[in-house]
Amino acid sequence: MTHLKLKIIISIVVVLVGALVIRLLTVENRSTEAGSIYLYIQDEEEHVVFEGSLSYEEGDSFYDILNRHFDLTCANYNYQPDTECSYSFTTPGASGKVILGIKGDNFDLMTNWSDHFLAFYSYNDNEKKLTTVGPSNIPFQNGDVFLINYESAWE
Amino acid sequence: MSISHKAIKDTALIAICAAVLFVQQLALSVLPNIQFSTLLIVLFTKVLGFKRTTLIITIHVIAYNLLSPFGSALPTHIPFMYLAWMLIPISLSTFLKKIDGTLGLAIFGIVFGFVYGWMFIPPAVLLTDAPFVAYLVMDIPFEIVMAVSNFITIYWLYEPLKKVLKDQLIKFEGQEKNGGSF
Repeated sequence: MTHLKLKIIISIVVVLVGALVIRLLTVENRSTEAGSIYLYIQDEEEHVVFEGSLSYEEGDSFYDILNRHFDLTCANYNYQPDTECSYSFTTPGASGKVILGIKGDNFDLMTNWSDHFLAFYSYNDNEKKLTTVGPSNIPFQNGDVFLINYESAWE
Repeated sequence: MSISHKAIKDTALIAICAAVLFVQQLALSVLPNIQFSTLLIVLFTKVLGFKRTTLIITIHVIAYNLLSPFGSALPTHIPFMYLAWMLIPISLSTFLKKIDGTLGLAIFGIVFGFVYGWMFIPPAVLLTDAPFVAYLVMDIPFEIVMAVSNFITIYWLYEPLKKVLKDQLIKFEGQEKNGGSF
């Protein structure tokens, strides 16, 4: 085998291994059956502006659940508001929607990503933990509890 | 060549290399963690030596944080960015000095892709209160992208660039090709 061929094979193997590991880390979390989650939403002063159970259907992602129950504003490729939520980020390992704003019947939270953002927490044994992925990929099961918190980037 | 003449040439060389490093990183900023920075700093360390590379990195970090249209890194992160890039000349001039082959340096590039990401964990966790586990997990895909990018660029471009830079350096320093000290 020539040196060049070996070099090409080694390069392809490295790229494939990298792509495979990233693929394994970005499992799309969708429900396998209908159910419901419990959600709290807090504003910048940590007042609970929404609390309630949200139903979901088979095949829904966490983002789909929010989109079904609230009016969402997402970020476009430039992190500017997009009320259509038409843009999905495709960065390997960090793909999906970025939610800038969420609006319900009695509240309207809007962030600008630079100074304020919406942080997503899941509850495990009453302990809240920041999710390690964005809303399109957050894993959930029937009865899980979540918190969306309006946070400042500078605190 | 007089000492002052050599110093002027060195200054020009360092400025040119810092400019190349800055421009390529800026041009590739839209692609997360895909850049030629690791390749260039490895190349500079091996061809130009520790002192010149240290000055190039110093200029690069200052220029990047002052001039980047994408904004500066958080001020608390800048020393760690500098330290992270400095790990290349430090390690390749000391305990990893014997690594000289392309494949060895490319594997060094893979390891450095992860180390570079980990260097930002202390400021993120201790100074900006980011949760450790969440930060560590979220950064892994970006570290993998940088590791693969480092490997491919070093594996394919290190040797030809080293040859070109050495040839240019010999001309630049006015030495005869066989009389240089490389």
